[in-house]
Amino acid sequence: MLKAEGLVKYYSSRMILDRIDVHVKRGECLGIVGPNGSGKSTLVKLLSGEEKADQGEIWLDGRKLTSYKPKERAQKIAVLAQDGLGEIPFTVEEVVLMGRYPYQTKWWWNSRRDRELAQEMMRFTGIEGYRKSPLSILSGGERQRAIIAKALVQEPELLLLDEPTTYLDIHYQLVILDLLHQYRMENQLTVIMVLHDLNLAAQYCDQIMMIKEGRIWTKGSPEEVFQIEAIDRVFEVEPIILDHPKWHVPQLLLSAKRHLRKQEKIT
Amino acid sequence: MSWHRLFWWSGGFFLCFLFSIGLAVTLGSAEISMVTVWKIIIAHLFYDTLPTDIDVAEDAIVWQLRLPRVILAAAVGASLAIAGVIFQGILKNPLADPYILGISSGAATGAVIAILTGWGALVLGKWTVPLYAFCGASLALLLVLRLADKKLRAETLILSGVVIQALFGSFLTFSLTISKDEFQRIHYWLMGSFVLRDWEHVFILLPVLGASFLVAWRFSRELNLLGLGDRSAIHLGMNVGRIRLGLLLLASFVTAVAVSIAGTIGFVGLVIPHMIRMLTGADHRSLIPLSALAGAIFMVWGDTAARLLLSPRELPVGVITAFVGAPFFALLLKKQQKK
Repeated sequence: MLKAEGLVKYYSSRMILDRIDVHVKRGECLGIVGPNGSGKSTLVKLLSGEEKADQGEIWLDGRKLTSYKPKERAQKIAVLAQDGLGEIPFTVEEVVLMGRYPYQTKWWWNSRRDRELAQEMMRFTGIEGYRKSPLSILSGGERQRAIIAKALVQEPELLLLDEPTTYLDIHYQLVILDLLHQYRMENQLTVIMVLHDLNLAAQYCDQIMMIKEGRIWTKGSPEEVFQIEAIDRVFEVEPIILDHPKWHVPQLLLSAKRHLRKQEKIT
Repeated sequence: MSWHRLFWWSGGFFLCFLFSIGLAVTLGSAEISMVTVWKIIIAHLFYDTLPTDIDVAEDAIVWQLRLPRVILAAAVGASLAIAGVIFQGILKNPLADPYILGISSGAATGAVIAILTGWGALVLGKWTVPLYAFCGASLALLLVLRLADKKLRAETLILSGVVIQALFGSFLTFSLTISKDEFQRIHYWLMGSFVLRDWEHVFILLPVLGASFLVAWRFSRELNLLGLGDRSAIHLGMNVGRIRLGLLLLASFVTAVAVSIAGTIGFVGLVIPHMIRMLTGADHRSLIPLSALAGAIFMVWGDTAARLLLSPRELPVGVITAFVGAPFFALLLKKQQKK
């Protein structure tokens, strides 16, 4: 599905990404984890075609990504950027329908299929009731669902997500990720997502790629990647690793160092 | 907005527009009834001869003096409103408008240079002044975008507009001072006026307005996408850089042609799109046609007020629009701060 080899990216003279390889099969979910400033968002920008790599090449379905026209590319790849959407004056339905842009060639009217698909995705993400409401009055979780609906009406084969759960409470974090998981299973959608929460990454992703300072540290299944030593080297924390009793994937338990020291003093 | 709602809204605005034109033409020092006005208009449009009950003098007043002026006012209003919509959409800034950004001053300076020097008039003919105005407007646009910060925040954009306006304003005043013969003509560019305009000017502006309107309307979806942010627009497969540049040039062009004919009339491009947005929402598919119609109506009445308030003397129409627009601008500025 997507193959990237030897991706290198500089911002001015600073190297942000250093020879990154990515391979994702159709229907797979790849999680990208790493500390702040490790180059995760830059990697998403390169894979989405938003920016060009200084070295290396990306192939999508056997074709170079740079050979796709912008609209062709948008029919295959949908992106949820980290910054979300700012103060925008449109209604939920208007925003969702904008996801049909890559398919629209004639002037600007929406076809019956555009409207039906928008309806379907609003139903799927559970925001049908807000159809005519301005996006700005929605809560963070509802907003994120509207944005996901917009990405899904693009009918993408690959979905790139940069921190889809930031600013959301734990309820909506699960709602969003479950929605995406369900859609992925039903539609053979390939997903690449950057996640801060390693435990959620372990539960939702088939493959994990851990990067630090623009280089791949390890990649593989959650069990292979989440080793105490590797986590310590990349994030500089020493977690306790447990087995999730229900899903049997590794889960990290963080221990607060400072808090413990305080207790030691008291005793 | 759905099709049938757009249809009803624009239908309503269009009727209001026709009524405004009819009424504006009847108003003036010589009283001519609405019926006579429409008889004359219809006679000129569809027949070659005048009905027998119409006076030749009345015909001359309506067809030669008032009607071209009213139609020109409508076209200028529509042009400025469309330019305002495009600037606001692209700069993602509700306070953008060709006048406040200094684009109008740039266009006026270009126009004045054309009039004073007369360079290129032989080749370009009646397009000389508009094309010079376009160069001036583009230069002003370039300077404003260079001066403002990359995020194009409201404050820096307005400040840059003020600076550019001051710069080009000094050029204008300077050329006004050195040229005694052209004083009257150049004077209009400073204040905005439809005095001494005839059908020839209408025929320059109307095709420009028509084409700009169609292009802007064609790209209303892209203008909507830009509202989501540049990154989202890129992700949806839009060629952001090229389309944005094209639309900015289009807005500058339509501003330049309007300014080269009627001078710098402020605040129309600011007030009108805002009122329409409050009425029917921010979707550019409806915003563009409705703003064009509302801008036309607003300017017809602005010009009528300019003609009649101090009759027989005339006010520059820019005074009227600023009188309405400046308090509106102040309100918007206050509203922005609350966010």
